[in-house]
Amino acid sequence: MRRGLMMWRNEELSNVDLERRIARLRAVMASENLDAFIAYGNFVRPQVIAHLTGFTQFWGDGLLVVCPDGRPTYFSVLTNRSNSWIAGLNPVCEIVHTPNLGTAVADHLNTLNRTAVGIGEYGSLPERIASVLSQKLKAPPVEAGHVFAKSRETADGAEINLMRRADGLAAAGIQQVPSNAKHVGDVVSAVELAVRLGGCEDCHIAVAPNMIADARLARHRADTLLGDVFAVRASVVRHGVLSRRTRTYAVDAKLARKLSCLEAAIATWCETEAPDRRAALPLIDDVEWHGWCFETPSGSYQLQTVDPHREGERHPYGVMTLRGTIEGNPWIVTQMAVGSPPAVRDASSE
Amino acid sequence: MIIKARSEALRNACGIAGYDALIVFGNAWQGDYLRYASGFGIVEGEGLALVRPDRPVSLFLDQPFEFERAQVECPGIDVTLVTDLLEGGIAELEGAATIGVAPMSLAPHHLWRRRAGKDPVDATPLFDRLLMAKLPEELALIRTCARLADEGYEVFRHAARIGRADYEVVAEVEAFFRAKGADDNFMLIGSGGTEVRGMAPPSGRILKSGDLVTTELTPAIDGYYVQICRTLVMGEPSGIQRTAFGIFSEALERGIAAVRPGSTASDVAIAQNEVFRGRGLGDFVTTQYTRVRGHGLGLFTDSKPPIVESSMTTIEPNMALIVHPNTYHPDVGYIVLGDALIVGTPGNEILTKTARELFANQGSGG
Repeated sequence: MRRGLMMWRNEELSNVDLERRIARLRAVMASENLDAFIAYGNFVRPQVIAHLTGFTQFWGDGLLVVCPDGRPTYFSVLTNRSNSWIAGLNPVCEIVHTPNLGTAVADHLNTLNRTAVGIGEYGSLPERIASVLSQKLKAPPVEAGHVFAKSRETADGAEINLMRRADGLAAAGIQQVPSNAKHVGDVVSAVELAVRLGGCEDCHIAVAPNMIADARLARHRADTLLGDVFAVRASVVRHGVLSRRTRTYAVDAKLARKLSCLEAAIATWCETEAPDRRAALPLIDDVEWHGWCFETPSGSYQLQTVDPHREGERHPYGVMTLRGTIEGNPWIVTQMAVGSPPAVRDASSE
Repeated sequence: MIIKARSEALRNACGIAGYDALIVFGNAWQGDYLRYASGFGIVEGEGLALVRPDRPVSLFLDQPFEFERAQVECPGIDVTLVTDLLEGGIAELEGAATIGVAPMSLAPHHLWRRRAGKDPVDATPLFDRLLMAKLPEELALIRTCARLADEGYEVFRHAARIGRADYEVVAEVEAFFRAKGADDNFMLIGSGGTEVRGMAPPSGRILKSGDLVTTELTPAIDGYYVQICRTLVMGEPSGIQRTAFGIFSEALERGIAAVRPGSTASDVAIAQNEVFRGRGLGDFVTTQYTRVRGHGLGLFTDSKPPIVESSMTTIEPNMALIVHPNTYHPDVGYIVLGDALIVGTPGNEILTKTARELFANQGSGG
């Protein structure tokens, strides 16, 4: 529940970028004969609204309404006191404050005589809102999560640049792990300070303090001792876009060098466009691959794990986490990856 | 263990209410119900816990990294990774006639569409009573966290210097809390003069001489949040700033004095608001300028009860609250001042010890 810097940076995300995204959504809406699209957003489901407006939910929840024409309208439960703050971070919308989201949106759409209404991830909508919408709208709303997903199958330049900025912050953050770190608190504090000073919007750090005993990443007490091999994951948000980096550290210099080589090889592999990545993972002496996980921003979560068995889905980019062993020592690496998940032959998805 | 004590209290309450099962929802914003039931502090995605009288708590999570983390952090809990929370959760409720749900505000539409049989019952009020009146184990953590909140404000005071950006100040405070083992911190900041109407996440504004710099810090230890609100001036406070601050100081004292077993949240809000009304500032205690005059503390940063004039929730022993008459003052801008306390008999235990003064910060530079 922690937010860092939240500011509008036109050079990173412009009104023109957002208008193009809304136009792409409207094109898909037209092909589905929808005359209104509703997106719900809250602290953990901010992505649809952030992608279309630039605004990331901080407190409470909201509904975004996009019709075939006119400015989109953002309905917020925040009070009027927050008006200038929201407007400064959400320049493309009309902003309406209401304690009753369902009623306000239904009244708005009924006034505009919109009857073909789609709701993104309708089933996940809180019942307190869904029940009001289904009762008050002129016709029953339909599920329209696929409409948004289709509108963003191809990433725009702003999105890729923001992802690279978030990724760069995460990478710079985990570089700050002190070489003499003894405890989890030393590591988490240093990484968090670096990414926040770098201007991140949010960050979460997880640690596997002793990879040989347990290679799972979690939050640990600050006074937990670090082992000879440990891993740190920084999940960092910039302007609504989340990236992650995980690095494995070793006290032993030889092992540390091998881990660096492995990380570099994975970085090159992740930068390769997905079709070319269908080959096996890079071969490195003494390295075994045990599993991978590919996350992508396909729905209202900032990142969502992709089911590798689902065919036909396209994803603009994602975050790839790989795990394995090197000379018998467990390692984890997370990198930004371009394109869809790979068909990895010699490691199974998690 | 705290999870055992909470689990026992929850099962007893469910038994009295006649529930066959309780479905508990949570996410990173509102994770208090889920954490009370399962012990898991969720960070990403959404979670669902099933509480049944004769079985261990089952926790369902929809994010793989959260699933991994829960296995490490909640070793006694049965954790399952699912792509669809309700599919996992509801499948296990076969035969349960009366099902409670908490908090109802997070319950998704699918729950009603997929669940055959009787509609679930809103168990939020039952759960809220458990969340408000703290167990001894919970109070111990709250006291520990209050000390951290005071230390955090000390870091904030020294970090807030002329010429620094607000997010740099926040970064320093957050790094301090992480080093000390706080698993979370809810923090807002405001800076400037009469143009400032509230607090928000940092915006990149550079602190200037004469600014009022407001913050509410809310670190959490093992999920339990304690809040402190203070205001400082960049440079020497002016006479008008001191006079305005005096009103908030008096309002806080009156508010705390009104906190006693048997009084209501409304009484506490009125006691604070009357101080402003008595000075012709009644408009500034309305919803146009302020939200609440305090609230509960615990596993959520903004727990029940809200301290507002319309809340008739009775104050009970062992509740943890913050009283804060934060609002806009037309002469100087937004001022905050608030202290956390535990409701006691005969007197309240004030948790946060930082002096209730309008701090001055003369330093500058990064």
